[in-house]
Amino acid sequence: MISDSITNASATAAPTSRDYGTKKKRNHKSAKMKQNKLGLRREQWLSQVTNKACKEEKSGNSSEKPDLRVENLDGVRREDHHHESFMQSPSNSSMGGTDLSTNFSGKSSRSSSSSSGFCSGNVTEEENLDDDDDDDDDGCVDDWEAVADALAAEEEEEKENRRLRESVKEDESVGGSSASNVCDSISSDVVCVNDAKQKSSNRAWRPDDDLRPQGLPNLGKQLSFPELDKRFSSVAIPSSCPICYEDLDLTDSSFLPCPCGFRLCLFCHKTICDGDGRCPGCRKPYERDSMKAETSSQGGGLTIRLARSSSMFCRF
Amino acid sequence: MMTPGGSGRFKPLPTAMYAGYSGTASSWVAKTSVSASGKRIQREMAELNVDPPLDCSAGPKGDNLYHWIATIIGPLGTAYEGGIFFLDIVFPSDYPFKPPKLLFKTRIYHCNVDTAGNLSVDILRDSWSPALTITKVLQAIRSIFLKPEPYNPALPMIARLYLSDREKHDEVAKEWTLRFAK
Repeated sequence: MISDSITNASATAAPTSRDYGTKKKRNHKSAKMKQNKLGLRREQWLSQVTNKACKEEKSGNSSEKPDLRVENLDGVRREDHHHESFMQSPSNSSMGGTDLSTNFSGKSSRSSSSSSGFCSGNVTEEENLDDDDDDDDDGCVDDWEAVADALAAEEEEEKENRRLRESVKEDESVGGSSASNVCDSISSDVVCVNDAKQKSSNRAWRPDDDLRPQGLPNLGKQLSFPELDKRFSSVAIPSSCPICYEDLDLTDSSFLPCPCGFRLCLFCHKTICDGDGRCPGCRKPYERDSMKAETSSQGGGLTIRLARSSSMFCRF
Repeated sequence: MMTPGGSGRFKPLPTAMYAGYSGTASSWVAKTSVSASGKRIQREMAELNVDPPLDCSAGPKGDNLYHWIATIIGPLGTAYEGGIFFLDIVFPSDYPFKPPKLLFKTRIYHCNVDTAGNLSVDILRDSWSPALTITKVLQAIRSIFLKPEPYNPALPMIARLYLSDREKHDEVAKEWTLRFAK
């Protein structure tokens, strides 16, 4: 069983590298080396599998989703989906738990969490990392979401179990037998049957899904950053000082000396304050404390303003 | 560039004072200040050329940016209709923080213009704002052609006549326009 599982794992790792290797660079050098070594073995194995997979498609896959059918051609891809689906949906994880307790013995699932004592642990971990990357690329799932799913699933486990069991048995009747044919070559019937069942809910949560945990945030909203866009949109601040026509810098733009809203640069404000000290916009005298209040409220602007006022002294 | 004679501290120092004096700080200070108002005046000149106010035109008299000449054509329907009135504009070196000095070079019978050509317009005195431009000043002067301000007069006698006998006032004004402004 140990050797079988390793074979499984290697066979799984190889197509992962082939399928996604062009998409992104991998950081795990050990995984890379292993994948390269296992490439040949995968080729042999694939040649065995394809024939049976074709039979399988004919016989049993009519009830399954079309996107899954493509993956069934490559029996190995199902292994990938096993991992992904396990992490994506709590229904899967709960189903795995149910399977462990009811239908199968402890070795039924190859996923890292349910098979803690599994000997292909390190390889499986690499796979999982790869799968994580894949999920990131797809923009679907992250680890935290999987955790949230699992937590929420525990609460609803009792309610779901009944429904899931039914769906599992349906899948078993259709896909389970055919999948076991494929997996004979890997000599792990249980895994394949289990995988075939997992296909039924092989997807992430949809926004309108009833079983979707309430705590999950909407990724679409997070990625768009509407507030960030608002902040950098154009504001009605003049680009140059209306008094001296010099460009307003960042400090000048945030400088609002009069409640009437008339903006001007700090140089001109200083000059006016040295004179009659009235706002050019409304002709009302500037509040003498306004500048001090602003410097105290904006601690960062203090040094800039001091530097500017000192340069004003040089000027005259 | 010559600075206007308004404030002595911005006048260029005599060259004798520069002899053996390598420090450029004082000259730099003067230049910066002059160019600050100069930039503003240049910008106003460009603005005036692009979008001149009605019946008004203005521009530097010679190569001195701070000394302009302006003309205002007497608005139609007033006693000053058809007259061309010349004004001298002198920008102070601390313009726009101080108002420009305007002087009528053409004689005019108007209660807000004294015999020397000085105007009694509040925005050129106490109500000056650095946000005002020469375009707005010229528009304000044109508006007192349309509607004199007898309660803020430069010549109270004309203001009194304007208030008591408007026809007589307009008759004299027309005669002066015909005599001096055409």
